[in-house]
Amino acid sequence: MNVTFTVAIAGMVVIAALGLMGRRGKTADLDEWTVGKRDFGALSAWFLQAGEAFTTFTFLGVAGVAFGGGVAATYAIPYIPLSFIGMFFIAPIVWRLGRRHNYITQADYFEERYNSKLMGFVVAVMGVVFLLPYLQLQITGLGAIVQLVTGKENWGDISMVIATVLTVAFVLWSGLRGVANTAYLKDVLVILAMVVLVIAIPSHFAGGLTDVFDQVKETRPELLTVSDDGANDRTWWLTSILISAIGSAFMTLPHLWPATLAAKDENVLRKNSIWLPLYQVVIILPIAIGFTGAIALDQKTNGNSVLLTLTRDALPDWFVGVVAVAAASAAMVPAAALCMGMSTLVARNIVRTRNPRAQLAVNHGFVVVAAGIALLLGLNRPDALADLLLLTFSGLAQLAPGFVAVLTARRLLAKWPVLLGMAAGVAVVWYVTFEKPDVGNVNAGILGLVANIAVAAVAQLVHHARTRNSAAASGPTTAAAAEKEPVG
Amino acid sequence: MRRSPVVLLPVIPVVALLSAVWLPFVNTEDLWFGVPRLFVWCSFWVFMITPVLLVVERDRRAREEGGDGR
Repeated sequence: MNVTFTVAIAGMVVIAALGLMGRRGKTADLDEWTVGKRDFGALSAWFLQAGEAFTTFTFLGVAGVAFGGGVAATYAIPYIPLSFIGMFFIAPIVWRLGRRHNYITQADYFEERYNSKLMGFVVAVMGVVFLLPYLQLQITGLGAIVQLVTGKENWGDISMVIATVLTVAFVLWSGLRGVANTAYLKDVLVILAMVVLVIAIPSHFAGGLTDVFDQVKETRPELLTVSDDGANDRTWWLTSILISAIGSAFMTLPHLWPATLAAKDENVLRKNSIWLPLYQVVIILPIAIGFTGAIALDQKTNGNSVLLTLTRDALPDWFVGVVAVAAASAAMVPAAALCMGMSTLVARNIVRTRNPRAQLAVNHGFVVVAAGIALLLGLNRPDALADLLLLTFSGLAQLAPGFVAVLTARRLLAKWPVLLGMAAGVAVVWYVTFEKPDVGNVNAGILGLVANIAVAAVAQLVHHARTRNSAAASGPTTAAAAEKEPVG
Repeated sequence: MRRSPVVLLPVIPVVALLSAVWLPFVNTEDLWFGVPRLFVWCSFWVFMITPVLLVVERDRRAREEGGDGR
């Protein structure tokens, strides 16, 4: 067993131990397990809300995009900060509604606002289906990280099993408080590792960071601009930012709801929305490392392996192990949040057991099932859900119109127009992603949203006309009521 | 409820960020401080989101305390 692998496994055990220590007494019901006692202060909420920012994508993906596409990778800098502008206004409203109606899932919001169990069921199913590939990505990514830094395939597999078991253990034992505990360590590790890497790697390969860009300007100047040609053109850059910012600002990712609902008051959410954008600038560090790869590595190198290949060549084994721990934590903590997000949707909005103990049992059972499926697919068929993963963000973004339509007292859309719009949006995303018609490099999710809103608007007009006609036929009092309440 | 025009301030960083690749002095091969201009531009405007939201929040609190808010 080499030093890197030993440090990586020891680090995963420490992460899990912190997660297990997050538990505060015996968990009585699903509410407490999912959102604690709704008493999370600014710091805990901060790390939970920031959780989505630093995932395996931060380590592997962003550096890879910079390696292949140059400054086009800067699309990853603004989208989460932009979403916090929306969250500044929206999160306090959701928090108030959540406390009043006791939401613990995203589907609870849709179910209560539209007064429809069908709506809650559909949103929950969408959440589970679209998040499962994302969970598998975290586990497969973790295995790939360990494999890359150790150079041994079976050690990658072993680490996937160990990390999954440890993650399931602390999620079941401690719930959201466990995730919060591990999130502190994860962010500290990720930022520390990135700061060291962004100094050490450019120094080792080029003499320093500014030397990297001087060399890029001389040898590959095309990497310094976003042009109108190629896969990462200006349209791609803009629509990638837009779909991600819309998805995050309008809370379309179900696993991020507990962080909002668990806050002790709405000021915590406003304060975090103000300050969290500063935190996201860290994403510039892996982009800079990707540029170093562009001048130091063969252009045929797999983009996702750029950061770790450079790390392995530039730093001692023990520090490579520390980087592996940071990267592993960036997989384990989001994986924990994803398990929670999916299991609560199943227990609360799909299976619907009435007994609180049975509900908790269904929830815990699904944590094991979801993690087990993701692990088995990661070990045996790592590409099985790859197609579905393409739909995760664009597909979930189709919840945005239905979310916005009932955010305030003045409801803009009724149940069926929203459902029809969502169906149209997901269908368009599916068609554009897999049939690949010539739509330039416009993100499939944006095209889906256009179809979604158009279908929902037409359906709402039809619904409104039918409601008025039937109300008019029933008499003047009912007609007046129909005018006031457009929601079906 | 009357809304203060201050709530429109966040539009500035939104427009600045989304238009970045169409600004010829930003989307260029030349560097600022030794790094790509797009890096500097995006980072600057991301940093500006915080003071902008602080102003909006201060205005909201002032209106709330003055009985003019929600």
